[in-house]
Amino acid sequence: MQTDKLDNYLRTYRKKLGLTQREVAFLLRCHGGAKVSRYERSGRIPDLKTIFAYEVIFQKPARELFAGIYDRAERETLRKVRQLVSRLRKRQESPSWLGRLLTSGPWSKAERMNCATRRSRTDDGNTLPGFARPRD
Amino acid sequence: METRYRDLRVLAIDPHPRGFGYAVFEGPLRLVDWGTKDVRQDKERVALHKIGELVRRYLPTVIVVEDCTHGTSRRRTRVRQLTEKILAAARESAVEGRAVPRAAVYRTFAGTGAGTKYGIATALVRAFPELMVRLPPKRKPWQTEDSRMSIFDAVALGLTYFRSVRRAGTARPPDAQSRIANPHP
Repeated sequence: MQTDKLDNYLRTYRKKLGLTQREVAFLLRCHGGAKVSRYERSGRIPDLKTIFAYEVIFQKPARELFAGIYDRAERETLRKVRQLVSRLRKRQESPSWLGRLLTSGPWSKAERMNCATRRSRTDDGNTLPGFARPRD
Repeated sequence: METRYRDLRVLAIDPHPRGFGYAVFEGPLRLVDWGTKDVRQDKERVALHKIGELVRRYLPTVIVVEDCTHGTSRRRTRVRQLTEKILAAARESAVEGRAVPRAAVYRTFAGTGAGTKYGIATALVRAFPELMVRLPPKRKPWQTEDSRMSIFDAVALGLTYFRSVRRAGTARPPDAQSRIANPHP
């Protein structure tokens, strides 16, 4: 069993470079570190321009910087690929692109993922009674 | 189902007089986050709250702390109690809690020739160069310990845990609570 990846690793790569949030904010042309903090805490998803800026700063592809989000998108897309292929097979349709799809990576990967997605995933990380927020 | 130790996300915590240091690993080779948290007032409650925030953010498979019940531990009562509460809170939150004795940490780093905390910290900087900026100057005998040392203690605890898991073969499943807070059955 593999531990789910974090939504993003912006904080990790920033710290590896020894940059502060304020410095990253300057590079991203933000007004302060608050927005960078929200990006790192997944409180806000950066726009495409900012994602590319992050790629330039950290020299890492977006799929590594936002590994958790990428993984989820991949799982969901491959599930839809599987649905589409089975729907086309039922209708006995085989458009030209279907052959390519079946022999290329996504379909074979979708088949592998089929088993993986059936596993129960626990995403209720917010219910942590032991570390409950103290009542002030 | 067994979890491979390379896939474990581990949160290691090392309390110090003014807060605690922490390190988050994804496998023994990947340091995801590290740092210190300052706690000045109402230390136990605030420290537990801040640890809870880290747990919510990183959803660790295992929380590792120092085993204060071990004979080699020289921790004060407050830290001993805090460590127990961290393990209890981990148990309540269905996160595996493990206590690692200080002696095991020294054994882990014996091969690097590091026999002191500072020696271990310098060995860790060689393994994780990103920690270099957090390495304090060597403490003089009349000085108190720099709070940044707790980062290195937390990283050392985490690596010692990974070593113990690797030696055992594979990690136990995250829901196995049998040995939580009881590392020496």
